[in-house]
Amino acid sequence: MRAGSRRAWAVAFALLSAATPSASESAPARRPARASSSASGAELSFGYSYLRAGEASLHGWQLSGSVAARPSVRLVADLSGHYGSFAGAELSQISLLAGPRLVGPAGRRLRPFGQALVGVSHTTSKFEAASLSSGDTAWGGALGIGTDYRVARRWALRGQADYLLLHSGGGWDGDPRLSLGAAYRFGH
Amino acid sequence: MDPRRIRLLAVLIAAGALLRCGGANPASPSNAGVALEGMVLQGAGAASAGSAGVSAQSARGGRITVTVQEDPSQSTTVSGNGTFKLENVPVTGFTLVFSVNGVVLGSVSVSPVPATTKIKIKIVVLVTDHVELVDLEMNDENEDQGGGDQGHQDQKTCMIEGGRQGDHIELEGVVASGSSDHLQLRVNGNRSSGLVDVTASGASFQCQGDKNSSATCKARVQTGAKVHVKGTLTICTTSAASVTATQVKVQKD
Repeated sequence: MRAGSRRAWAVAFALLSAATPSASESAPARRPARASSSASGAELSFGYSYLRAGEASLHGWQLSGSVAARPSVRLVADLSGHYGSFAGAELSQISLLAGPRLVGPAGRRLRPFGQALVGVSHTTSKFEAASLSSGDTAWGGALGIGTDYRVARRWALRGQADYLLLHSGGGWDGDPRLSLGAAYRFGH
Repeated sequence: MDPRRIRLLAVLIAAGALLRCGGANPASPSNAGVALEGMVLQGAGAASAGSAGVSAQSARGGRITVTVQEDPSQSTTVSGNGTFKLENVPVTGFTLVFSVNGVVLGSVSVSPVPATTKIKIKIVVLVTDHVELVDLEMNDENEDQGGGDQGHQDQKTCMIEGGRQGDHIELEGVVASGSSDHLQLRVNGNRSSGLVDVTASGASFQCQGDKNSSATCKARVQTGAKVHVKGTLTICTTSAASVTATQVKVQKD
């Protein structure tokens, strides 16, 4: 997994580089006026989320907000909580990630996106029967893709898949995350 | 946005997710041995000064590796949240060795488990400056799937009254032979028709009147000592019984 993690991080940095606006991307003449205005507002999404954390299957929620930085780039803050049990112990994981999201053209019903986020994740493990608990905070990031399916002027259904790469205890973990929810767009 | 970028990203993420899910498929069947799910609570509770000769700091210096001593090819790395899984631990009993960067932190032994291919062992291990077995649970998936008579039959064929394979058990008695790692227990009263084998290498030890020193307490476990054992009844027939202990209390004479 470690070699795979290094490769994935290389891809993450490549994506972050790609998200940095180049001279050609920032040329306003190349952007349709409709897409630009539609993408300018803030956006909030909330939904169910599944996380495969280590060997455990955790379920929970995901909340994310974003604002437009460029017509095709949004800045995202992503908060999620996942909970479950494994081998008799209770697990919970709270993650806070932020970074750029590349979005497809506005104005269409289906709008795909890809994102590269960095942040921290805190895991708590409890074994109630013996009143024991331990906690650990890992840092890392997530690569993700998803799509919005517009169902109303401001509302869309969102499906998203991320691959979290977290570093703690001298090693890396790669944990897939799947989320389904709704997104609401403010502004024009 | 260039559609090719999205396509490339989609392929990379999907490949990563498939690799991850395939590598840790919890449902993959095993023909031999039993499945084991484990949880390491690292640094939980108060750590006492280096009784096992390995500091807690070294335990934090890298990822913990768990290896089956009887079959070193059965090895896995504990994930960041403490979870680990082994698919084929031997039914004849096994010892899990916990190490970091090749430095052994400690080990936990589990006595023979019931000879069924569908049993799942859940184990919780506490790692501070040493390794300690906190809980051991055995779930017979055959029984869960409708073998309702199994438990009744186990009760009839177990030499310990009220005992049942895979269940938690508490026994009180006198050490007939052995030492703190492995002992034979003569159970008080008529509850058991024979001596009970107790594997206690991963158990915590408490002595009445000696709360601080685990080593001193272990030394008191010798023939004739009165003990109270908590653990899991891993094997029970009409002629033999094995318990993997999570706690041993040595009582005053």
